[in-house]
Amino acid sequence: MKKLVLILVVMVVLTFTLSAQEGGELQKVPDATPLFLYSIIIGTLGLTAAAIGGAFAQSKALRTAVENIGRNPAATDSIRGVLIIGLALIESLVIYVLLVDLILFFVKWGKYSF
Amino acid sequence: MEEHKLIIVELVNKLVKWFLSAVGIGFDNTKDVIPSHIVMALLVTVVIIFFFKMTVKNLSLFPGKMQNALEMFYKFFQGLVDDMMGHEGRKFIPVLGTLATFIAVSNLVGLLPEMGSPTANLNVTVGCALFVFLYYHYHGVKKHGVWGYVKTFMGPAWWLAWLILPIEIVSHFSRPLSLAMRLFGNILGEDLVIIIIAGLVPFVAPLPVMALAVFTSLLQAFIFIMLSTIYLAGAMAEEH
Repeated sequence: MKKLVLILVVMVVLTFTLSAQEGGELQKVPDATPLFLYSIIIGTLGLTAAAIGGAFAQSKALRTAVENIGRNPAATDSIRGVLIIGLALIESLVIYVLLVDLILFFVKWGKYSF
Repeated sequence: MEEHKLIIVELVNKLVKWFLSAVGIGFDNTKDVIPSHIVMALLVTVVIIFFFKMTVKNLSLFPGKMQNALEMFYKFFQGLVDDMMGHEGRKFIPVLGTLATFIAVSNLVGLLPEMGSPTANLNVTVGCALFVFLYYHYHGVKKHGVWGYVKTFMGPAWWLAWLILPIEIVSHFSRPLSLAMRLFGNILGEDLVIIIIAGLVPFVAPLPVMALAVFTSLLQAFIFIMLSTIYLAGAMAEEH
């Protein structure tokens, strides 16, 4: 019982380091254009489309893999290996779109005009 | 977002600035001399070297627990390399295993308090990817000779070489780019999600996300090494 209380107290104390994060606000510069807001909205739409496409592709791969494991259980190890590689490669395409969105988000485009 | 300064990085920078000011070089107090990703990468390297030196002290024929675990670890890489390259791939196990250990540990270290992943920075992942790129080209050239290696880019027939050579060059240059971007995007994405959720609900909500982060860290290290092994096997392949 004492150990449990000690672990809980240590966990609570460790979460205090997380409150050192501060959120930044959108600074308005004298010649601000809405380009920053438009780019965030369009970036989010692109990321949603990428997530949908990625989910479709991964579900197709997973479905074929599981069907073939059921058809031939002796090959399950090699099918599992190929499945993991394939899923990670498809997922990396979605991650590329996320990287473009990170660039769009962290560069303050509002100072630049069209 | 404000950067949260890590304690270890602050201490190392203070030490280095003190040494350099004793020599006579002054520094601006707001900037870091050694950036945080280099300090974390060095820390991970020191910890790995220390750990392996301590556990490989007395190897015996009847292994104890730690030696058993390390042998399983070695057998994992042995199975991986044997699948792709056959028996002559044994000499690549040390390099690939070390790279895998470094990437896996440096992905996981970002989950501890007051530590950041070095692989959450693009410089470290591009370094790993460039190393793999130069390594497999070096071994391809060593095996086939320079002209023989260039001939493997030309495809199966000499009259198709004008078509296949640009495709092969582009695909070879896209390999380190995709390796670096995949690792960087995965680890930075997980770190950002954890930071944002912890900013909203710091109490128990980050825990499932951190469990997912452990899984994707190990998976991304495995994918990196698997792809490096495939590239190595492709560079050392014999024409039949």
